[in-house]
Amino acid sequence: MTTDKNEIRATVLKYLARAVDQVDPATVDSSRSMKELGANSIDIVEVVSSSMRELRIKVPRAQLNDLANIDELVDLLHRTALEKASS
Amino acid sequence: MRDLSDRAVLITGGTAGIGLATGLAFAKRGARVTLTCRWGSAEPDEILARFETEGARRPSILEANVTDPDDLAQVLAHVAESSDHVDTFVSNVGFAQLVRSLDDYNLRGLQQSIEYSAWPLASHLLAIRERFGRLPRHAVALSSCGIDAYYSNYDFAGAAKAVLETLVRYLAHRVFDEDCRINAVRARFVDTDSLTATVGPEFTDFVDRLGGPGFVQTPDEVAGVVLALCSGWLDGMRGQVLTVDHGTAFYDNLMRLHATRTVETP
Repeated sequence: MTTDKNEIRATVLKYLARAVDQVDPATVDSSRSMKELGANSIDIVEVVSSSMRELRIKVPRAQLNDLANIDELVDLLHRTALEKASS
Repeated sequence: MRDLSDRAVLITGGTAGIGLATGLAFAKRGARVTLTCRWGSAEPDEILARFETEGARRPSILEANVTDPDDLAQVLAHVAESSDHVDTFVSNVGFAQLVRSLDDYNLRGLQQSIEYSAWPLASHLLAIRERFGRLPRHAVALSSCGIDAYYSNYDFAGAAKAVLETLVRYLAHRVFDEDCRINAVRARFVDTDSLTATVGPEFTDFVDRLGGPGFVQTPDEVAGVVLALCSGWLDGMRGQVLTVDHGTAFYDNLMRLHATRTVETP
């Protein structure tokens, strides 16, 4: 499990790029939501679930519902990874 | 009920709602139950504690994506550690793109909805046969009344369930010469997180208020029908779709609302 925020961000963007053809991880604006970038509701669940699985962390669904954009998702995953590493 | 002890039962989406209730129903009767769920969607310790509290045999819980062939292979490898076959397969996962307006229509979303909600019935049966050399004696697919009645945001989910029911009928024909009975159970309004996610959190309260007691079904009631289909007593049934709705679909209409209004405010 990594606690490196850049790695976490890269993981999220990798799965987002797999889901949405027009997303380029190198240039994507992560202050936007996945929906704004063309992801549908299934894509979003797949990106989040695949990212958590690769990062070996779990976040309660309730905490995921209120995220406004990709940056907030990366922040949440990063915080969760840090908490897990310190426990 | 015929003896279900030591039956190997595989349930997709088995850690919540109808899938969990079905797993409990089998495990309480001694079946060896394997539940699958999406990564991070359940807390295994809580599920195991519930089985123990309810006196059910301890299940296996595996985090696996129903659309991933590698995950499926790992699930079946786990089952093979304790059984040389799968007796019962319950295809319960339903996951579709919500459609709130015409702007949400897209072919990819429809295809994904079918991939998650319909195809796993076929993919799992094929994989089970390849791994164990035979099909399950019983397979049940969880469908929905949203195929032929309007459900909020349900365009693609309903379409995917229609595909699922069609596959049930054709697969039942394809395996006619094998020891395998494939049927579907249609649920209507079942009080689950899935219903809330689809139509909103206030829906069941609305139904209770306007429909009265009995409009909303419980996961246990649906699980009971699944259990009955796999009990052996209903082995004459193949390719059928059973509806679990308390009969409400028949009279849930404007005519009934008008009649009720007339009685209450003459």
